[in-house]
Amino acid sequence: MEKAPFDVVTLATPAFILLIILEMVLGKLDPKRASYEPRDTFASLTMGLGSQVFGALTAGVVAATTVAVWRHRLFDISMTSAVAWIAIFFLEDLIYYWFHRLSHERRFWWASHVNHHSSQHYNLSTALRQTWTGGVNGSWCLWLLLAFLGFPPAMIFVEKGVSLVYQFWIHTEAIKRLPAPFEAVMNTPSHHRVHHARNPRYLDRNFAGILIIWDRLFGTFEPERDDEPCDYGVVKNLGGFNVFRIALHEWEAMARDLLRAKSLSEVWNYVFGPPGWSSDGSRKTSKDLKVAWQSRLNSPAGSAGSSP
Amino acid sequence: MHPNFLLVTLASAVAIFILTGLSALLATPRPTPPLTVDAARARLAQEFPDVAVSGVWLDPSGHAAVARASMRALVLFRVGDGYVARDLAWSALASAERKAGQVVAVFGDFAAPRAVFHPPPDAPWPPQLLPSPPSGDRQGA
Repeated sequence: MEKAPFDVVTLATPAFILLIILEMVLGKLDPKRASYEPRDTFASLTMGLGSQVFGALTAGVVAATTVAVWRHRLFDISMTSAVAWIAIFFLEDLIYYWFHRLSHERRFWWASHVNHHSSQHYNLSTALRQTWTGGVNGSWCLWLLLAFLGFPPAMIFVEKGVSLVYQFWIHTEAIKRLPAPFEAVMNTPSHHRVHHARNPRYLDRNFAGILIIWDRLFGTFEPERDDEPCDYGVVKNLGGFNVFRIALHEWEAMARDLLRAKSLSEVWNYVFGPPGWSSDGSRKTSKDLKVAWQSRLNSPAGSAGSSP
Repeated sequence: MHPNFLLVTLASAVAIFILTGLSALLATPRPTPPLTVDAARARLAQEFPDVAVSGVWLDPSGHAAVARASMRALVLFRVGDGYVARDLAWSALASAERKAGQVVAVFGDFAAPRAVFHPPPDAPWPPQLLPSPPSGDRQGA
């Protein structure tokens, strides 16, 4: 079995740091292009470091499982095949789309992913605000499909790194719109700003990793509108910068809900239902928020501002 | 533990402190002027869009506001250069004790445990709210 020739993320880390510094300087020169709040920046970067540390704890299990599945592969795929690299580029990105959608639409995975959305800022440091609990929620199992098809684990590792590195640079307000053909096919800062926004119109949209085509294909695409600026964060923003609260708050809330659950159905919905689900309807899911927003738009007062 | 991993982790920790220091040095947070009544109403309308607010109180710091909606207290408080909103029973807010010039509203929420107010020493608590404008102008109604 071949080893990964390089770790894309490690190679890219110096560029991450330089680009963050560049964006900070740009924000100093033109505050509309970028803003950094030191405690928010510290929290985002520390979440990134924590993600590496906690990820390392489960990396052995992930690697061993991937190799075990690959030993029972359907096809023999060579790492030197150009066609194989093209195929894994599309397949990995498709898997990422569904992983990401699952991470927003089901609470068990949202509990890990929410921290990435918990900043009220949208800058390159936000890209590094990564999960600490991704290794234990099992979402990595989705990538086992690639190993089962026959893609060597090293190839999967490299391609996942490529996806992660691509998604770094799109976490910025410094780039407004790119040429239309690029915006049509690729995930861009504009598309991903929408994804990080908590405006009801933008909630649970644009799950893409590299290619925005998946959102267009599966009906989850929403373009950024100039008349509705993105309001970043989560529906109920966090009241501080404590990284442990950022990493664990949704897990804590889930545990609290489970202690109150009165039936197996409630247990199921509190764990695998959509984020915001509650047995008494006192909280709102993304769908509820969108319906209420649409209703306000359609009401005579039309208090929600811009048109649909 | 692999020595390379330890090295990368330590280097990352150093980079975090350098980048955080740089962000403080360059001072590029969003401008967050003290809340006005209108600004507080606008933010509350955004956070609680389906709730009719009957009155608003501004903390003298300009960093927090309280509104009443029936038996609920809607609280807006500054975190960094942004604002966070939570609600709690009005009775819970009203019964919060004043200690060392501060009143702490406790939300029972791990993600946003509390908000701190600094009412003037001679002012009553719960605060007296500025009434909402006539219903035609009311935000978030």
